[in-house]
Amino acid sequence: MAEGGKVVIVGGGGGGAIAANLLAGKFDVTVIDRSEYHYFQPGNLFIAFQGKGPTLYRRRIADLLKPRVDFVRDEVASIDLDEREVVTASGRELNYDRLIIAAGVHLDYSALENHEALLNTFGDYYHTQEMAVKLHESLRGLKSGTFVIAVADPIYKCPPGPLKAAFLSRELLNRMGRSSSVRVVLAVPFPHAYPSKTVSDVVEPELEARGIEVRTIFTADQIDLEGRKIVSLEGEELKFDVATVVPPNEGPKIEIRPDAVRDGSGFLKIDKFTSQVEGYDDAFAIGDCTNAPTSKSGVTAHLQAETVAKRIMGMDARYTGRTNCPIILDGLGTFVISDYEHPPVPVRLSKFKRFMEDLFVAAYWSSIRNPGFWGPVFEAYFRATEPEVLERLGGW
Amino acid sequence: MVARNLEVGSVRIDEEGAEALVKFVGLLKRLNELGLLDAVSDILSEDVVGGLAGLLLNTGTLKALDNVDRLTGLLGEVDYDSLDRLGDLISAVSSAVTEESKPVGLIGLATSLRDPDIRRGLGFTLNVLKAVGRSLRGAQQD
Repeated sequence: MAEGGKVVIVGGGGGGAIAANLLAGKFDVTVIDRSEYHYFQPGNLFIAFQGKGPTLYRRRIADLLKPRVDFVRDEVASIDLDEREVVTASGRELNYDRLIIAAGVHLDYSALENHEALLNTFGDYYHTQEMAVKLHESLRGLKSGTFVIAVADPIYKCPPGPLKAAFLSRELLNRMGRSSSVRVVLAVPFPHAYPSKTVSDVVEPELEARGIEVRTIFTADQIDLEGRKIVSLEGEELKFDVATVVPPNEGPKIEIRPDAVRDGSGFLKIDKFTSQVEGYDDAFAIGDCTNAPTSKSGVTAHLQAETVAKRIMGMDARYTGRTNCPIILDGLGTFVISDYEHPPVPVRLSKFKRFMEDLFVAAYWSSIRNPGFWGPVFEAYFRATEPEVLERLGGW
Repeated sequence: MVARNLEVGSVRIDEEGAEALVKFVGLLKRLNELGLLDAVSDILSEDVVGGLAGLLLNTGTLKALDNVDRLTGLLGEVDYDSLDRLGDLISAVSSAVTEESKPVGLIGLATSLRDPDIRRGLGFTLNVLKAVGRSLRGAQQD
């Protein structure tokens, strides 16, 4: 038994697995996840829009964890923060000295009427790999008409997701010789193509150059599957032949006592710097399931996992709110670089940044399995591209 | 002789795979003889890789790398035949930078013009100014 005590981690995604591997050997670490697999979620875009094979983007959680980490494949039913107890659906009770909740978001496909039917008809690039495969087939079958990418709520994980979907689907359709027969329409609830004006200024000319239509201030509210149209909260209509809508995101579907640690959408209320759950110094929440005022993204989960692991090991680490969300289009890439103190800085599109993003993707599994090895490399990159420094230089 | 259809754990290795494996083992043996396996293993430590990353990944290099396609494009336009003379020029200018210089007025300038080296330098400077002007005219017309 390790000396540090028991650490229970709810969720074996990016954040959970990195925290577990950093603490392995120093603490008795148990990871609980209902899924056998860890999915590299951006991979759904490559499956849906590039026809890549799903197995490229999943690994067994047990294989990603260090040998000294205990993996329990079960669904977490409840967490009692006062009793320091996690209970699984099969009735297993686990006590802890430290808890890390890395349970991700719940995608609510029931909030909009007919959303589930839309999902099952055309597929989706947010839901699962199976649905990403289905969306790929739907697009291959779309000989002419309109492909609509819409968003149902302004708070959703991977903010550049819909933009990437627009660029990559346009690329796919062009490759299939449908550059003039199929329109791609991106409908977003913001005044620009992206929530940040600075980022929008970088991508909007590219959207225009590729003939991708953008409908701003369009919050998908009703889906008429028979009439093939989406109606927005603002009262506008969009006709489609194939469509996909990013569903409202909520906190994880786990009973957590006391309920006061969750906000109105079910997200865990945390200290944005330390990831400590409000009112509990032995419980942390990281990644998409928190109310931290930053992007719900893999980088956030990764950096919060490092922060929490260091804090559990007795160091005074703090997460700055740093984001590094990639936006990719044919041959070019850019990153949304910001933190709690700085809104996104201007980052031009370049071939090099696309190459960097491809490198990040290639190193993903290794960085999850060996976060200690990759830590200093990422740290050097993040230091070199601190928003404050880039802002002073007028961007990157 | 290469083994056929070797089984390693649950993985079945066919003839082509076995041949590659034999070559790979040969390469490993050579790397081991040279002590390179030990060196690579030591280099792949958190400290060395982290130190290298800290050295290479800084704001300046990332900014330069981000423009590497433009920079290499520019390198393609260089007249390499003039580089030797440009090198001599740079070293001459470098030594002039370290020499002590005195403030010079109009009269001093007129006197200096008697020096043939200064006259040659002035001619060259006028050439450069003409080229700069020509380039600016082109850029403004674009």
